[in-house]
Amino acid sequence: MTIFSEIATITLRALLGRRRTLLMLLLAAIPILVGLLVRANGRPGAVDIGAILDGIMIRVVLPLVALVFGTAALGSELEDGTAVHLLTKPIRRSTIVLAKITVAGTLTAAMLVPSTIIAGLLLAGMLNARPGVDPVAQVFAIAIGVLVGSYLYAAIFVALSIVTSRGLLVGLGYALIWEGILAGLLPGSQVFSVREYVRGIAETIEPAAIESIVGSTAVVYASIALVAATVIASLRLAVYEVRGGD
Amino acid sequence: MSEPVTAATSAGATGSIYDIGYRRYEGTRLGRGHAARSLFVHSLRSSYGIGRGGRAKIAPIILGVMALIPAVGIVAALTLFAQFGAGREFDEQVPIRYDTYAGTISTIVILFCAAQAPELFGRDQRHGVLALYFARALRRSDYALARIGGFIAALLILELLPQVILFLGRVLLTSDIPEAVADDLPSVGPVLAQSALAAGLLGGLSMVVSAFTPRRAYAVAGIIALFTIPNVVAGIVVGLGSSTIGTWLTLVSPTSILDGTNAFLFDTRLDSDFFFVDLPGIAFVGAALVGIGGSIAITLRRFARIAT
Repeated sequence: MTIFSEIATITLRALLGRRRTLLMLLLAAIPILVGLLVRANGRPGAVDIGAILDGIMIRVVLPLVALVFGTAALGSELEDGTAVHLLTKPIRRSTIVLAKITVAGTLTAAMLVPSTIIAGLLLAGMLNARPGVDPVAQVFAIAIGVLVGSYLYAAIFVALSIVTSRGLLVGLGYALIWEGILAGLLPGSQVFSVREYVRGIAETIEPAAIESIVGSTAVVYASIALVAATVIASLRLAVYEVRGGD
Repeated sequence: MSEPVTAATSAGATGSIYDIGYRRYEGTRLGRGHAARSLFVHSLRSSYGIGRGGRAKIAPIILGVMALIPAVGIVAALTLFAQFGAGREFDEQVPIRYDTYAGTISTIVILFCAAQAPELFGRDQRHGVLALYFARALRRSDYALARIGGFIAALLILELLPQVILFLGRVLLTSDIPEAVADDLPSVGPVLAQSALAAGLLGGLSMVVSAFTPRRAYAVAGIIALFTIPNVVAGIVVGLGSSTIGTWLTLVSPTSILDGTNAFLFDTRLDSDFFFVDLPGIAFVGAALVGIGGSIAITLRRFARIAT
C-alpha cells in the first residue's frame, strides 16, 4: 500500500467514529426530511427546487458536514498531539494534506450527494418545477455542484484546522458571517464564497437549475480556491509547531 | 476536609501516629450561597475569557465587538447626517432600530453561544473536576444553575450593550434631551423583555447541548445545527403556504420563536413571507418560556445524574 492510501485508510477509520457518523447522517437526512415535509404539505403547484435545495443543502448542511469532517480529519490529531507520530515520519507534508482532504471531501460527498438527489427527486416527483425546467437535470446539476463543493469546503477547512487551533469556530464564522450576512450586504464578496461557486457550477451544467452571479467562471474560481487551500495547508503543515492542548 | 484532625498518638507495638501539626481551617465558612454566587461570577467572567489566557479571549472579544458594530455604525451615520442637517429624515429610515437590533445580531449571538457555552460545561467534564465542585457546599443543582445563570447573564450583556450605545447616541444627538429620552422610553420595556427571552432561550439551549456533549467540536456543531436547521426547514415549509406542519415547525425553531416574540413585543408586523402562520404573538412568548424552562430542567436532570 502506498503511504497515501495508508493515511487515507487510517483517517477514514478515525472519522467514522460512532457518534460523529451518526450525527452527520442525521444532518444529511435533513434535506430528505424537507423533501418529505414538502410532499406531505403538498399543495401541488410550481416549486422552485433550486431555491429549496439551495436553502437547506448548499447554505446549511453542506458547509456544516464539510466543516466537521474537514476540521476533524487532521485537526483532531493536531489537537490531541498524536499528529506528531505522522509529522515525524519521512512523509511529504503535501501527501498528508492531500490524503486528509481526499478522505474528508469524499466522506462529505458520499453523504450529501445521495441526499441531494433523493431530496431533489422527492421535490420534483410530485410538484412540478417551474415551466421550461427539466427537474431531473436540475437536481443532478445541483448534485454535481454539491460534489465539487464537498471537496472544496473540505480543502479549505483542512487548511483552516492547520492554520488555527480553533478551525471549527473560524470555519463557522466564515460560513455564517461571510457567506451568510456579508453576502447580502456586499454582493461583491460572493465572488469569494464557496456557496456561490457551488451554485455557479450547477448553473453552468443546467442554466435553469439555479441562479448565480459568478456563472461559469465559478469553475475557474473553484479550481483556484482548491489549489490555493491545498498549497497553503501543505506549507503551513511544513512549519507546524507542536503545541500543548488548552 | 471536615474530619477533625485529632492529635492521635497511640503507643502500639508496631508504631505510632504523631501529631505533626497540620492545622485545620478555622475561618468562617462562607457556605452554599457564596459558593453559588462565586460560580455565577466565574461563569460570567469566563464567558468573555476574563481570568483566562489570551487565546480564550479572542473569540468572545471578536464576537462582542461585532455585535457592537451596527450600533456604533448607526450612531456614527446619524451624527454624520445630522451635520448635513438631514438627521431627521435619515433617522426615520435607518434599518437598525431598537426593534430590529436583536434580529440584526442574532447570527453573532448564535456564534457566541457556540463558541462559549461548551467552554463552561465541557471543560469541567473533560478534565474530570466535577467531583471537586460537588464535594463542596455547592449542590449539583446549584452548580448547573450558577453556570447557566452566568452564561445567560453574559448573553444579556451581549444583547443589551449595543442597545445602550444606540440609546445614548440617539439621546445625545438631540439638543432637547428630556424629549429624546421620552421618545425612546416606550422602547425600553420591549428591549429588556426581548433581550431576556433571547438570552434565556439561546443560552439555555446551548447549555443543554454542551452539558451532554463534553467534546467541544461536537458541542459547537450541535449548537449551530440546533439554531440554524429548524429555522431553515420551517422557512421552506412555511414559504410554501400556511399549514399545520409549518406552524409547529415555527414553534420548535428557536430563532423563529425569537422573531415572533420580537414582533409581538414591539408590535411590528413580520414582513418576511416566512410568517403568515396564524398564531397569536403570545404563543411565541409561551414557546420561548417553555424552551427556557425545559432547557434548565433538562440540564438540572443531567447534572443530578452525571457520574463524577
